[in-house]
Amino acid sequence: MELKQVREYVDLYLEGKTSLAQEQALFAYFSQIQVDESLVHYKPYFATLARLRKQHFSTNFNPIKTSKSLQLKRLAVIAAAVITAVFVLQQTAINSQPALEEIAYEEFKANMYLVSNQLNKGKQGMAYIETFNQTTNKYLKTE
Amino acid sequence: MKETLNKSLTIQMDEGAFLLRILAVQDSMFRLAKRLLTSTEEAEDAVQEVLTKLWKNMNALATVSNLEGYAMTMTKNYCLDRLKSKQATQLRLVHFKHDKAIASLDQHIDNCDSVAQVFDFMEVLPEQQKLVLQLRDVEQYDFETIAQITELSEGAVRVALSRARKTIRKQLIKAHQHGIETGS
Repeated sequence: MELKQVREYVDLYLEGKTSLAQEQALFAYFSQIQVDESLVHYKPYFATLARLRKQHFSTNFNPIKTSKSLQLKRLAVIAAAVITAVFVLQQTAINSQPALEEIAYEEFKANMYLVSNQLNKGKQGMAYIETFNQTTNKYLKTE
Repeated sequence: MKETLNKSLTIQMDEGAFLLRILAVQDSMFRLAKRLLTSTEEAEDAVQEVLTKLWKNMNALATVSNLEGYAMTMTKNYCLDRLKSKQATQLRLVHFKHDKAIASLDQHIDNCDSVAQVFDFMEVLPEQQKLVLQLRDVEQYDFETIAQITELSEGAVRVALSRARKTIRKQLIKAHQHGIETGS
């Protein structure tokens, strides 16, 4: 940019009449290393602007904690979980009805085997009575 | 259930878009808050507070076309309120001294360049001029947006801007004549 134009822009700038494009041109001019001696006092101001524009908000904004949709989502998830739980429970109830009968039957069978075994054992235990009868009959002649 | 899911999904999308829009302005909001409140911590708190407010009112703000301008206006109002309540409790004086100490430290770190000095020039401007200068020279908003944010007329904005720039120039010339290094 020519010096004459820079001066013109600076005058407009001080009156608050420059456009954003003109201000950018001024900014570019004053960002150069070499600036005309008569305007050099403006340089620190533009350097300051450059510095200020680089400031950033460093904290992370996290709105999730207050999110309404999350609450909705949670409700949806809970509803889905309840519905699936009810469904699964019903299914298992239907499936397990014959299974229960089977188990009962097996248990009954096992019990009956046990009873029958015990009876057999008892019967074997009684076998000596007959022998006893035979031997005693040898000594005690009842006839 | 499908309906609820779809609904929450669209809300989620809107939230994402909204978040992107307000997060795009957060740096500008922070710089404005810092200009007005001076302290970085307070500026961060202020931005956090304003962002939360915006977020909570998302549904009402969905129709606002210039959300950026709206966010900046809220930041400005919030900071000015803070300043008022601080002045009432005289906290400002304490804080000002505290910040001065930090500023001088910054100055030291910046290898004593004149940038820190210009910070001081900007610091002592009247509130309105400070605000307008920040919005125009740092944030580079057009006059219409600045008028919206500051709730002034465009003419008043130009006048305030011109005064601020002239005050700064006066101080720049003075500093230059006193033979202070410009740091270039």
